[in-house]
Amino acid sequence: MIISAIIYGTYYSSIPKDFIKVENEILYFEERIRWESETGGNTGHISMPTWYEPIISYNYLDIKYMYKAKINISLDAPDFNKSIEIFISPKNPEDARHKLSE
Amino acid sequence: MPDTNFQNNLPKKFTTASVYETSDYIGFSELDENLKILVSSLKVKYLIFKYERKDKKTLLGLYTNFNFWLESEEKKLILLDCKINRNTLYDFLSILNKFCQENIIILDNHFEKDGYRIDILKKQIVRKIYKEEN
Repeated sequence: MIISAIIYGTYYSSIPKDFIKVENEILYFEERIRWESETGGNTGHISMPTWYEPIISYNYLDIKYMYKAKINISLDAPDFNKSIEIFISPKNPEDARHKLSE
Repeated sequence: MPDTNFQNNLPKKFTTASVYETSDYIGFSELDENLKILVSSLKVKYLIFKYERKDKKTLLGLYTNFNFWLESEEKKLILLDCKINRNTLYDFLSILNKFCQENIIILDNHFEKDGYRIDILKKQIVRKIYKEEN
């Protein structure tokens, strides 16, 4: 399971050479909350801070697509000015990857 | 037992739909039945599901806790302790949802009204945040 997770992560974190960059826009953020007590209580749950995942839209050949990162983009605040580059496969525009810009 | 006459006066279609998926719901348990009897015996028709959100900023990030409770006529009926076991919240909302569908109660769900949903698969509370228009 760990090996498949590593393969999965490596696959989606790399951007193939034939992918092209497209304009995009952050549509909204999903605020994701785990609300256990900070210590995790006595059940052994691992406490995690609240984080924000951007849901992004991009256009290719006049068709609008929605993108949610397969490898989480976890931001600690909903920043609509956050620069995120989106790359897609021209042969299969639904296949997209992202790169966080500095 | 539920007031069957009252059911005729309720909207036919009323749902809270507070969760993404309830496919794993397996019907009423003994606890559900007890709650159903309690609600019926109190002659409660209108319930308000309320919450209080508590955010705490730390060096590691923002930690969020909730308190949940059920109110009737501005009186707290049930206080949910979800800090230890988050499944309590899923189960409780599923039961309330079921009660609504069966027209046993009318529920004013403040948690849902404010945009909160539950992602059962990931076991997280989710809320969409849109860009504020200037």
